[in-house]
Amino acid sequence: MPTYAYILVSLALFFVGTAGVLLRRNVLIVLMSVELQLAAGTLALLAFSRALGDQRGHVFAFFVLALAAAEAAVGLAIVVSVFRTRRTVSLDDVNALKG
Amino acid sequence: MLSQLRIIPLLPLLSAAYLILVGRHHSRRVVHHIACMAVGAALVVSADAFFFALPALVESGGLTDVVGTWFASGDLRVDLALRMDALSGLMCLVVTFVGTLIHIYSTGYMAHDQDYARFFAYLNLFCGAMLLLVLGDSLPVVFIGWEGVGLCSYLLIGFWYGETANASAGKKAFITNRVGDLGFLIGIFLLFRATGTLDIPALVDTARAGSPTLTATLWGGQPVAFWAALFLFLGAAGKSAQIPLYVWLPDAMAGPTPVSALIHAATMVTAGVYMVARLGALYLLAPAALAIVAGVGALTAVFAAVVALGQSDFKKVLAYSTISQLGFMFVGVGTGNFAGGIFHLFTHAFFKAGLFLCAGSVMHAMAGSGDITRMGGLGKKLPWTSWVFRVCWLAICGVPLFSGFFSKDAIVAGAFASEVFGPRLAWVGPTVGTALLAAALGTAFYMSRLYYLVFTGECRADSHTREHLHESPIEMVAPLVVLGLGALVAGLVGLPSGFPHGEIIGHWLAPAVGRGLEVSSSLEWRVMLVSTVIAFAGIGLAKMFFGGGVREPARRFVAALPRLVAAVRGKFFVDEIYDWLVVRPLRGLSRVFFLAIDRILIDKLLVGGWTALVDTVGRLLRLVQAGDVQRYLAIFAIGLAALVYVMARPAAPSDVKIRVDGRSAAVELSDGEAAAGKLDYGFDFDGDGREDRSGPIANATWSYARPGHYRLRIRVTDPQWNTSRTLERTIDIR
Repeated sequence: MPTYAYILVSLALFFVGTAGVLLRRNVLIVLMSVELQLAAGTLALLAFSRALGDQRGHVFAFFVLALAAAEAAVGLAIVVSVFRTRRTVSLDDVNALKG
Repeated sequence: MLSQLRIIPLLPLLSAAYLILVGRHHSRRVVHHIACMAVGAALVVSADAFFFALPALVESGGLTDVVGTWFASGDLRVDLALRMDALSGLMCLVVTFVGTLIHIYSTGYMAHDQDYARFFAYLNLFCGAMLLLVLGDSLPVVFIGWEGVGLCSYLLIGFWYGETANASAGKKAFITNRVGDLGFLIGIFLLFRATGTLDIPALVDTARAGSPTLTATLWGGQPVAFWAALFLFLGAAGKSAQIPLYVWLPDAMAGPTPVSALIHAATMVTAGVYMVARLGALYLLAPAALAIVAGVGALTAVFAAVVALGQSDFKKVLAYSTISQLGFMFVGVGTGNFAGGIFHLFTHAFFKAGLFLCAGSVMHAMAGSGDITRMGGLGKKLPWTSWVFRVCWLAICGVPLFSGFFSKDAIVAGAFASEVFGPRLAWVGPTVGTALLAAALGTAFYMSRLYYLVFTGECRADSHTREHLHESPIEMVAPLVVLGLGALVAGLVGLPSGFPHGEIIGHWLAPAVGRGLEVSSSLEWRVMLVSTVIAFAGIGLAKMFFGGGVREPARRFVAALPRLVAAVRGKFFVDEIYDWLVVRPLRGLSRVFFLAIDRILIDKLLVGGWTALVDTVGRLLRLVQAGDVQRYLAIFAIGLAALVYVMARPAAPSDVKIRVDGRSAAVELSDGEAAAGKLDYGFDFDGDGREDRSGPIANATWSYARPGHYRLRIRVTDPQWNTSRTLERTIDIR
């Protein structure tokens, strides 16, 4: 398959993820959408890596996986903490820091 | 040590600084010991320098003391230098002598005042500034002293600032003096522009040599010397209370009486006379300026003498008397009779300080009131005061053998004999001389009126005041007696040239101010005779009107000429006229500026406008700050997209240069740096939609077949991102 097909899939994934991050109100869904964006990035890295014959893309893909794991851990911890104090995980209700 | 002239002003200045800083923590005894000692020591040092060191050096310019260079800029170099020559030495003695006496007097007069230390600090500061003024060797140094005494005058007039009237009197004095000071500054600038120096001896030498730098025509056909002298005289008129700037001095009587005696009679107000005498050589170059000085002096002498007739406040009478006597001095210096003017300054310092201190003593006895209509018969209750007053009174009236007689005659005779005006203005001398004789009659009359109303007849005060009448304590009486003796004998230093030991002061001052006038002895005798008659006539007339209280002739006079009397009592309404001419328009203008510029432009637009802008922007921006994470993220995403778009665009050619040469046109693009060499260009010269030139080169030429108006279309493509933009220009081929 040509490289641009992978890139198209990656773009599609990224936009779906972005839409999820921007539009969904449930924090858990937002976090999942962020994972989707990261996956889109990883896919683009791998596609370019294969197309250019350069292994650095693969290395970065592993870094991104590790980062995604860490992010999920921290993000979920925050979500749990927010739920404990506010009894909700909806972003509409988590807006104390407004001007 | 003797050449250390700097000690003289420094002693009172240091004492003033000390008393201002820590004076209020000391007891009254300590305060007045420090203050009196400082001035007394300055007196000792000046007397030492004057009597022992100066005589040997007086012909060669006197003692000098250069403290250091004050500032230097380009050709201008001003030293902080002091000089004691014949003139400034004499002034120095007068200032420190009278100053010491009045310090001692003040220890009694101010004994119960709250702000004891502050008073003496100001008094010391004044002495220091006055000595700086007197001893200053260059005009800027003199100017520092000039402003310093003005400041002290302001501080001391408003010393009892709790009452609004006193504070406004201080402000009035200060502001009126500012008008004069502006003239003084302009005079200094004119002199510097013409001669390039500000040192007084250098200026005097230049003027004596009749240098063309000073005689060159400046404005209105008059030489530089005239304008400089005129502007300097404006400063002198402000400081020395001459028409038209005299209005502050009567109000200055709001200050404590020792201040009136020291500053507003004996020393500061004579600074203008001193300055004119110091720069006498300059004035001699401009007879017209001298005529103005003499004319203003004579006018002021007569005017103030008339106004003094109608005043009913002890100190107000003396204030107008001071203005009038300063007019005498200005006639002296204005007729080229500098020694005469300074001689009168010298004797006046004694008798006028004495008169003021008598006023203080009387007011002390009268519980602070200076209303002479409520006095009378005080001669018996205040024996010492009344005797000193009698001596000073006779001196100022010009009764023979008292000091004022000789100095006044020196001025009047000098005015008649003066030859400085030249043929065209020769009438000025006799005119001002005659005016002075009239003023002398007025002087004798108003001073005698004062004497008879205060010291003779029955006491008109209420019984409570009458019971408390008492002679002042010794520390007040002793300076009075010394000044009274001075008023008696000070004239002996200036006996007319016919007498044995005549003209001591004239000879003494000659190196500093030039030779005195040659007055023929027949003129001298005639003037003496006339002025003696005038003095006794004035005194006799006053006795007829006011001897032992207001008498029938005085009442009839008031009844006969009510409007004239009202005008004189109202001081000819000069204050009211100034109020209409100057104060009200200025206040109106200030109000316009306040409303238009301050309120609207600055407050509303500049201050309010900016806050409104910040407020509005803040209101708008806080909509963004909604606390909603997803909105932030959306903004972030939009911003990122915009950033990527801007970064990815082909750099716009910043400049399109088109050169047309006959039928051919050359186009050159200059790129932004980022994309230089990586872009692809297409040029369509004739506007037909097809690219005539293309490739990675940013310039192209084209030859047109026929003249016309062509549309040039340039395409710029970035192959890396496959983006492009199009520029359009027109080309005219003739």
